[in-house]
Amino acid sequence: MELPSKINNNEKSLQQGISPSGNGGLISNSKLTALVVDSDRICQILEKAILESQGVETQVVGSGRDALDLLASGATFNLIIIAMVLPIMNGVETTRQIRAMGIRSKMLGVTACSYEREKQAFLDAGVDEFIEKPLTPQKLASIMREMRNA
Amino acid sequence: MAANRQALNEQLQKIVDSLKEQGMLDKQFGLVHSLKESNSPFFLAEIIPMFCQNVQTILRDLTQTLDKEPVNYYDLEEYCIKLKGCTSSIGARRMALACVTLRQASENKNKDGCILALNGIKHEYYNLQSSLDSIVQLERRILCHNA
Repeated sequence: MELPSKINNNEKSLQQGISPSGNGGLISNSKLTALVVDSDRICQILEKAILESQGVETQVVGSGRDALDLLASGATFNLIIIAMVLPIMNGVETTRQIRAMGIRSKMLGVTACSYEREKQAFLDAGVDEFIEKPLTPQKLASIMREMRNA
Repeated sequence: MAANRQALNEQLQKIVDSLKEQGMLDKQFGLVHSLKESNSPFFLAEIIPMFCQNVQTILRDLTQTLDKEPVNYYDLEEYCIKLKGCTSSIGARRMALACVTLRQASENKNKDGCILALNGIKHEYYNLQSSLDSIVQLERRILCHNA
């Protein structure tokens, strides 16, 4: 039984790191915006869906390099959610480089298995907060409130 | 028609509740299920097969990494963290917990412990997989009734 696929139609957009809403990387200023940096496909889809259910326009990239390239191209986001495990350049190093670019977006470090030392490394690199996966609306609540009030 | 749809929804909920009682799923699965309201009615029916494919790929990578000599424990840990990430994100509670055991064995560079832990993860996955297949089949039937 073949069902039309909304997830698969978004796949190409996800992989290209562009918004499926089709504005080629330019984000509307009327909504909160987020960038998800995660190499796991399931986490990408779920984190994007959770953020969008909260009214946040979300883009997804699968690596630290893609995140840096997107940010260097001028794309801006209220929130950057970044996984610790990423191919080639991990989340900690990617965070460091994002902050070195002068980007002051709210950054949330996420990982599935967190030891204290990893949490501290992420915070030292420049994330504002650190959470253990899975992402939930409850875990996002205080960050969302802060961003909406800003 | 509406009665059939309701019956299918109840049947699906019964499976989910049973899996929660057994500790195989947790409330995160309820959140994933609810995302179809804001995302797409096909969301659950599509993401579960993607999850299963993702898990199978990572389990293969873990197995291959453990088969090599010497074992690359760094890679093993990364695959383990990735697996825990996707299993916890979908709400596959016992699989996610089994990943913690693997990570600990990997940190201790205990190959036998890693093999045991990986077998434990596979066991949890195979137990969960048939129920997930049933959930997808029911969800597809519900979608056909809604169409």
